[in-house]
Amino acid sequence: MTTTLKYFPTSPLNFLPSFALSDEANDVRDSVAGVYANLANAESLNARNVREFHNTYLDAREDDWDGYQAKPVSVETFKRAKTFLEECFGRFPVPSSGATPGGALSFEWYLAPTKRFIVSISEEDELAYAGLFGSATVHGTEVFRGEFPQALAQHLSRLYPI
Amino acid sequence: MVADGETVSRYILSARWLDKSDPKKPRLRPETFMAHPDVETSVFRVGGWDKNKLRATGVELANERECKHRVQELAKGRPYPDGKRSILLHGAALILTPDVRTAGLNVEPAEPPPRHAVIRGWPPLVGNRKRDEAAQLVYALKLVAKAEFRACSL
Repeated sequence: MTTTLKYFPTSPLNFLPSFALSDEANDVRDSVAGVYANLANAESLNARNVREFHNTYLDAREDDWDGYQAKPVSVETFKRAKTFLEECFGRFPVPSSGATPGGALSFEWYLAPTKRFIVSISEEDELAYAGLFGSATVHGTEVFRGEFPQALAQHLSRLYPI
Repeated sequence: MVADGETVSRYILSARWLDKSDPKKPRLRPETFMAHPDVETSVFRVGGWDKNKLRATGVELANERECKHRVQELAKGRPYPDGKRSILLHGAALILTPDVRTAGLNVEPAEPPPRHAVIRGWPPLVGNRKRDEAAQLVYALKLVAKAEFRACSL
């Protein structure tokens, strides 16, 4: 499945303006306007996080980007993390992005100080994760080769029940 | 030994440690406290300091790290123009020592510089990068859940 990373609305889907005056035409026009509004909202919700993800990589691709001798984020890490982010779309809310001192890119889902989940992705096939669900915690690693790991989905469903 | 009840500050020198989804209220990210790939996190004991002293120490740290960063970049043969600035102070993550200890870690003095300390007790590194990172992340989540962000820009 291909997921849209960036959506650029074009002029009304190439439809010519309609001059129809019937009730049905008005209903169709209202429905189409609703679709446009939803698409615009979806774009604005995802675009900020996608932009943040790209900016994080740009900021963290050199040694010592955090002032505490952090390792740089590599292009390969960026590509793998981008694939992961695309896999998140449509499953869970789009996470915020960060980087770890070890040179990984990270994604965090945050509901409250003690309700949050974080995933860290590097060049390896494994990803690292940790979660805080009130007083309970989880952490570990999962294999990621392009498909969203089922175990992560189960952990995230504790924050976002299906 | 750093006494219970003391406040320590992790100075934030990268905007990437903050989630600015709400620009009016930046939120600390867990990476703020991570020690990986090392096994200790650098902090300052800031109990009794007013906001000016808190900021001044952070600015001094940022300036020192910027100088070090500049030297490293030039040593690699990379251009680093005079006006360029990479390391900036973005704020401080404040946490009480009892909260660090409740999380299963410890704070110990590590001077110089004056009032410098380190958070220790992170899980020992096992040599697998992702497992080491996962083990630290869960502690970082506990710390950041108790920490407070204080903006004090350069």
